[in-house]
Amino acid sequence: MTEASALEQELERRLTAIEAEEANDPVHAALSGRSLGVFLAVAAGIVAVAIVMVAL
Amino acid sequence: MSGESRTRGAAAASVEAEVSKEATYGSLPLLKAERSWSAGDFSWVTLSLAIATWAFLTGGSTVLLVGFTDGIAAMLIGNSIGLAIMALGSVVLSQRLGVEQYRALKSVFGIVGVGIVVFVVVLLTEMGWTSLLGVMFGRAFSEISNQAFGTEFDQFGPLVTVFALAAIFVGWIILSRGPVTISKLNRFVAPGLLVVVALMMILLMSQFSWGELLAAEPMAPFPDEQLNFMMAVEFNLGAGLSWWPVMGTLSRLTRGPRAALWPAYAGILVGTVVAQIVGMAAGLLMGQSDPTAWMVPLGGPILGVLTLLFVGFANVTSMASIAYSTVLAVKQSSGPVLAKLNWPALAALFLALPAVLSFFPQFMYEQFMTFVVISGAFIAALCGVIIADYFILRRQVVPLRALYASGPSDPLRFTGGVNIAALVAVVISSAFYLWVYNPITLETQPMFSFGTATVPAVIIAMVSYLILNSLLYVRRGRGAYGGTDLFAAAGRK
Repeated sequence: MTEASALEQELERRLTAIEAEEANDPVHAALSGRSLGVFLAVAAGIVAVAIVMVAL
Repeated sequence: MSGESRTRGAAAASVEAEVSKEATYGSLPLLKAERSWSAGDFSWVTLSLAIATWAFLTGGSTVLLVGFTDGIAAMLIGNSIGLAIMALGSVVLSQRLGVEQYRALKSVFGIVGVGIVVFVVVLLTEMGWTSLLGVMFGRAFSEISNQAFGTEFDQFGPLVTVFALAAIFVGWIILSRGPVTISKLNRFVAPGLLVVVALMMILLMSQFSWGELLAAEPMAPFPDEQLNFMMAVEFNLGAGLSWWPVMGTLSRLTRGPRAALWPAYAGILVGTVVAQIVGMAAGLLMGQSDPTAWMVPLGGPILGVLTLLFVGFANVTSMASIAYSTVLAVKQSSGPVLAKLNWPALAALFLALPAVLSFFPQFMYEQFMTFVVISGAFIAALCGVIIADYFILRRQVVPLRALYASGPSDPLRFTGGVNIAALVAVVISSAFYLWVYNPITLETQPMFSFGTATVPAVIIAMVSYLILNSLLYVRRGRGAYGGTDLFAAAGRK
């Protein structure tokens, strides 16, 4: 078996395994709107604190 | 077993080993069992990356323009915004798919477009950072030699280049052993660096008072205070964005979106704040932000040399960490020629470029701020396009198999392998950035004084991309937009 064909087989094995066994696994969860909102709020909060620090 | 069958068995094992290597080093999607990093593991990695000696330089460059309090504010504003944009433009996509960053970005730029991004932006950016780390290592060891043996080597002299080349060689050895070795080293280096940074701050503050630190004037400000502050913010924005080339590929090893997103943001932010504060304090109080210049005089020969040794070693692990993702990117984007090279050879090929730059140590130091800001201009544009594509157009749904498809039937073919809309949006946004703030001539537009250059550039990248992409691809049913979500059952976290 050549290296290229072995790689192709391995790629197919992985894609099949992911589609069949991992499709509902939380490792592939999307980022929720809530998590995104909290993340952006924390980032904006740090910026706001820094701006207040400069203003004082 | 006969000799012939043993040979066949060994050859098969070699192929299997190569496949296994490719899964680690290449673009194959990782299986769940291989995605072993918890949020804690990834935090240590990002923390150790951030507390490298480049943070001392970033801190020292910040206080060229502003004092200590304003410097902390500029650092927080710049890094918080820059890291948030960077994280949303890199880690979320790669983490969900378990795919290396530049393979995943085929869904945004097309396979040829990714190659253009890698060779125009990523390679040059990471080459600059890698050579800078090498030069800092060289300066550390020149200083150790001066202190230990009474030599008088110049801090930008030939010995710096010799040690920088040695650092790059050691970095190559670490890099050749793969991400597991890098991760193991980081578990040791990160806590050690925290101790070293605390020690540096204690030493500094044992010689000076807090009052002196707070009253210290900026080292080389311009007459306009507001402009000074915004230039410091913009510089820190560029520093935050500069993590983009490496973060997606690292985050694919994590176990969930939050385990990727928060460490990529908070780990870098905390590490940067801690180390940059020391750099700022040193810059203001000692007139030198680089610890290689003041650690021995301040800490004494034994403590100073030991600290410099550790910092020098930490530089090498940082170098290996950033080179890892870059070499992966190059491997994926270079077509069949470089793809045939084995991992150590490809790593050597990449590190040869910073090795050349290490022959110009003074140039690397003096152009540091310009380098960070210019690379930030391009990365801000890239992130804007990626965020618009992944979150708005695709709603986090990327066809996994299409990332590996090729030829005319490739759903992500766009136009001959290039998403023209994406590249045009990057050009428009970068040009706008450099019009608002030109880091070479230091010309600025009025909006820069209150809005930075990065934030409007990201918005322009997003808007121009959404318009152009809709016209060129979405309306024509090209680019695999609006497909079903393979991972819909995995939910949202």
